[in-house]
Parts: sequence; structure tokens; C-alpha cells
Amino acid sequence: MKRQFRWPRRVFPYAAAAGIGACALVLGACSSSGGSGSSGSASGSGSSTFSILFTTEDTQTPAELNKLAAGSCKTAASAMPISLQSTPDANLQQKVQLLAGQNDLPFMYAADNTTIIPGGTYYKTGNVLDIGKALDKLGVSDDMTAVAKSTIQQTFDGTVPSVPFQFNIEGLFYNKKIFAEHGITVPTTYDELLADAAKLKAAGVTPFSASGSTGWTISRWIGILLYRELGPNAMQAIKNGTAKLTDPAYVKAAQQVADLGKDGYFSSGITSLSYDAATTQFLTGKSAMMYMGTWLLASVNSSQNTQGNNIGFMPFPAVTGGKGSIDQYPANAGSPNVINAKLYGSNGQAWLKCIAQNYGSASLADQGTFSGFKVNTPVKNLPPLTGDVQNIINNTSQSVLWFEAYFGQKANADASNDAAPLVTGQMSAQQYMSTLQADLASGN
Amino acid sequence: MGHILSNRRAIVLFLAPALVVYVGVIVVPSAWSLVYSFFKGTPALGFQYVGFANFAKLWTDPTVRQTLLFTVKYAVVLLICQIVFGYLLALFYLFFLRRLSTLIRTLVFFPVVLPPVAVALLFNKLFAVAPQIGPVNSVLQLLGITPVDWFATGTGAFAVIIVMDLWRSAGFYAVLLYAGLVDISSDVIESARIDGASGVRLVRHIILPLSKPIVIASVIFGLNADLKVFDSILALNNGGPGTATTPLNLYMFQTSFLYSDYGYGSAIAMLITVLCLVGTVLVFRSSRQRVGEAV
Repeated sequence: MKRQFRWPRRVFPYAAAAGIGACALVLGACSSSGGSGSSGSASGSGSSTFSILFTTEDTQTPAELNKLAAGSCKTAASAMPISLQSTPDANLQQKVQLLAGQNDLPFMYAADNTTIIPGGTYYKTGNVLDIGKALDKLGVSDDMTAVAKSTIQQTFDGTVPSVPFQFNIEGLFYNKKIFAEHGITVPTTYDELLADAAKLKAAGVTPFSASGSTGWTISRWIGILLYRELGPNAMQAIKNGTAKLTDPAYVKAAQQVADLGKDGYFSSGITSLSYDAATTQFLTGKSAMMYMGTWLLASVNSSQNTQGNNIGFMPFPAVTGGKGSIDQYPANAGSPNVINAKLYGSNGQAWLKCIAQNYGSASLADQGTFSGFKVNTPVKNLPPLTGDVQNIINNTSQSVLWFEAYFGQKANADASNDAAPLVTGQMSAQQYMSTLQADLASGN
Repeated sequence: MGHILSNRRAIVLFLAPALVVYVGVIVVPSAWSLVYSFFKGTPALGFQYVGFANFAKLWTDPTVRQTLLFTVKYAVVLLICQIVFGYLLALFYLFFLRRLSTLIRTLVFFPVVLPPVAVALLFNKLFAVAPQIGPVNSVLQLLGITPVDWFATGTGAFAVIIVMDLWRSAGFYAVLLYAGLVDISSDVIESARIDGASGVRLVRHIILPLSKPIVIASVIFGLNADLKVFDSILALNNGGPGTATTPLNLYMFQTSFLYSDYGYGSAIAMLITVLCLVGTVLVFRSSRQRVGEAV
């Protein structure tokens, strides 16, 4: 009988493990290579489909683009039809990373701030088009409003990697009827605001609405207080490293917000209150004020608002003795919508030109929201509040950014997730700022 | 038949398909993840070799310490509750249920079948305090207690998580342990009864020792499942407030996919693997000793 060769029993598992490990090493070492930065120039005709990746929560921009495709931008759309793809905001990062890794990013995609600044991931792989330069080349650079361009450049290190489908300022929305019922006038200083809140609370009205599960609705309070007290360069100083979030002046702002929670000025059960529930609370008259951006106007102009024209908008009051002033509105040009430089060609140019010339009027007329584009066709019959806000935007010379503007992904997530614990007393202001500072220090 | 099974080639042929799938789906990604833990980066930008930096970070990261402690606390508390409740239910099935036995067992088992996310959303609304007061807080109000914001504190959220996961899994352990109890020969129980043992003494001196193997198996199974909890806590309150109820698995998910650090996320995954291994070995060791003593 022939003797069969057998692996010694002890060796076989190790040999197998070594084999698998070797395969894994080879596979793991495979990675995509880097590319060049962004430019404003087109290459050939580019992609023939206007493929867009949006967040599911953003219903406005895709709707507006579809309208333009059927109307003012019909020619551009026939050469480059729209193809929409949406993913929930929570999965967006994963999806975009996956597509980028496969070199399969669509023509337009939503991305995180830090990934599209010079030195960011998608900037390095050459997937970011500089919109400012592209509009210059198309001769329509005037169609982007100056304040939108300066806001974007502030956010993105002097570049313009995002199409400003939205442009919003932030301030305090308030219920005029509740103010009148309790004899409160629009406060011009922070101390007046606190006094008004105390009065409302004593009368059994919730002073401020905010959402704990969407924590930036709380952490924006810290940002605006910092800008009012320390001036418009408050967060730039953090970015440059000349100041730290753990400095007493910065912790003070976090403490002020924690005190708002301690004094009971936010609604009870704020930790698990959703964004929708918080805005509904305000728009149905169950609370007096809400710090929010003007994207709320879409809800104010909808059936969600049962208070009609009683909703007003005021700038966040000044802090007595602070370096900032009341007319400095925090502004942002919406969440980034990036055009893929690798797919930008003559088809894309036609679309971009059409958007620049028409999107401003279209979004204002159809949805009552503002974009970073000029309103070339004046819109009549604007809802009163929308008209008021448009006047403010048109007359705004200086904008400041928001609290998390320069934060990386982990710092951003921690600022939001730890906001509710801050106002319910689960986390101290010192701890809150230390966590964020540690995240910034480790490059996250 | 014996001829086929003793033939090496036949064995390999029968095992090969399952083995290929197993290696491809379980072994290769595990090894791949181990390789990732020595790198830093994302698929989009590629990876850079960083040696043991990710593992060094595991020691110093305060969030890892907090999530590790929470995971162990959660697993131990939940496991004890699951085994105790499951065992009590199994005894109940064995000794008290006669006519409606199958129906009751099915009803108690039913929550196991429900999707964890659906159960989490259910409990989120049950314990809610805003925008409307949920049923639990309504009952508290009726009893004259002010409504509690369960999800505002780590302790409150932990209590809700334990109740939720216990409700969802107790039926499973009940059925599992019941199968083990049913295996005990009724002759043994009869003779013990004749000898005068009844109630608690019967359970403690006869049934408990005889059902040890199935209890050990349940403990090992439960420990591994509980250490790797993820979806129920994510759907309930996303590991909040802050990171107070974030388990290791969820932190690994956030690190890899939200903070774009596959390398460090893989290192955390290795930590979870080691944790499960240590837990299993501990249980095995202690069970071996007991079996040796009992006989």
C-alpha cells in the first residue's frame, strides 16, 4: 500500500494561516493612487450625464434642478440629462468614499467640508472643480453674489469648491404673537435676551426650541456667542492655533449655553428631541424663539407653520462689551455640492452657466429660499418674512462662519453629540471644550 | 457509507464548497482587517503604513476606555439577566405549563423574531418624554412621579437598553434552556421527589447540576452576542448621551466610516475580537473545573 504524504498535524494550521495572511497583505497593499488638485478648465465634452449624488434629506435642490431641466435649461439638459441618486445623510460619507475609491464619483456629489479644501481627500484626487474659476472662464462670475463667494472662500481656504445652491444666514426666529402677549420687545443685547427668556419661563412658555439629537442646533449658540464676544476672527484663531477652545474666553461661551439649559430655557426632554419635532414645536407656537438658519423659511412658508405671519426674524443680539457687532450674521452657502473636475467638459459648462444665470430667481420664486446666485429675474409677491430676510442679505457686508466650520469629522460629530449632555448638565463646559480641542489637535 | 467517509478525497470534496465560502466571507476579511490595523487611511486616498501606532492609540484613547467599560458592563449585566430570566422561564415551562405550553412558549419567543431596529424604535417611543409623553412616563405621572427623561443620562439610557434587549432575547434563552431541562430524565426527578426533594431544593440540588452543560453553552453564546451589540443601541439612541452608552462595536463603526480612519477602526475591531476570545476562554476554563468537581 502506498504511503500517503501528510502534513504534520501541527504545521498545517500555521501554513494555512501564513498563506491567507500573505494573500491579505497583497490585497491590502492595493490602493488607488493620488491625483492633482482642482482647476477651472474643462476637458473635452466631459460626462454626458448630469449624475448627482444628494442626501435624501435635501429635497429642495434636486426638485429645483429638475424644474430647470424642464424649463430654462432645456438645451443643456438635452445634451446632459439629469440622473439623481440619493443617500441618507448618515451614510453619505461612506457612499462617497466608496465611489471615490472606485474612481466612480458622479458629476456632482455632496461631500464633507474638510475633504474638498486644498489638501483634502477629494481635492488631492482631482475630483474638485473650482467653481469660482469656472464661472470666470464662462464670463458669468457676477452671477454669484459677493457675500456668498466671500463666505465660501472663508470656509474653504480661499477656494470655491462648492456650488452655492443655498445661501443662508443665521439668527433668532421668534413668535411675534407670544412676544406681544408677554410684553416683550425685540432684544438688542444678550442680557435683554436672558431677561426675556426668564419672563417667558415664569409665564410657562418654553423660551427656546432646539434639538438634542441634531446637536448643532445647540452648538451654534456657542459659535454665535463667541463671535459676539471675541469678534469675527474667533474661530479663525482656533484654526490658526493662536487660541485654544480650552482658553477661558472660549469655555465661557460653552458655560453660557450650559447655563441656558440649567435655567430651563430649552424644552424638557431635549436629548432625544428630533430636528423635525423641535421646528414643529416652534412653528406651532409652543415655544417663543429658535436659533436657526434661513433655510427654515421653506418650513415657515409651508403648512407646517400654523402661526402664519407671526413668525419674525431678528439678528442674534450683541454682547455688551464684546468685540463683535449685531450686524455680523453667521452665513453659510449650504452643505457642499461639488462638481467632479474629471467629468467637467463642454456639457457641464452649459449646465453650470445655465444654473448660474437662472437658479437664483428659480429657487426664490418656487420655494422662497435663497441661493448664492443673483436673482436676475425679480420675484414678485414674496412672503413678507422672505422679503425681509432678502433685504438683510442684500445689505450684509460682513458675514462670519459658524462654530463647526473648520472642524474635522470627529470634532464635528462630537460637537453635535455632546451638545445635549452639555445643556442637561451631564457634561461640563470644560469637558465639552477639552474633547473638541483634543479632536482638533489630533487632526480629526 | 463508511467507505466513502473514510476516503480523504471524498471528505475534501464534500467540505470544499462550504469551506470556500467560509474562508472567503469570514477568514479573508478578518485577516484583511488585521492588515488594515497597521495602516492609516481610506480607500479613496490609499493607506500609509504606521506600524503599531493604532494599537498604541488604543491604550491612550479615553473613549476606548469608556466604551470598553460600557461594553463589558452591558454584557455582564444583560447576560446575567438573560440566563436568570431564561432559566426561570424554562422551569416555569417544565413544571407549571400544561395545556397552553406551546402557545405560551411561542408568544414569549415572538420578540426574538422582531427586527432589532423596530424594537429599538418602539422602546424609544415607549420611554419618550418629548414631544409627547410616552406610555411609561404616563404611568409614572399617574402614580404621582414627575416624568423622567430616560435618555438624558447614561444610567437612564442603560436601564432602557437592558430592558429592551432582555425583552427581545429572554424568549430565546428560555427555549434553549428548556431544551436542556427536558433532556433530564424524568426518572431522576421522580426518584428525587420520592426522596423528599421538592421546589427550591429540587432545582438547586438536582436540576441545576444536571443542566450545567446547556447553561454553559448559553453563557458562551450569550457573552459573544452581547459583547458585539450594535444595531439595537444605534437605533435606540445612537449611543448617547454623548458616548455614555456607546459600545465598542458602534465606536469602531463611527471611527471607520464617519471619521474616515479605517486603520484605527480595524485596531478597535481587533480589540473586540480579543475581548470575545478572553471571555470565551474564561467561561470554558471555569466550566471545565466545575465538571471535574461535580463528578
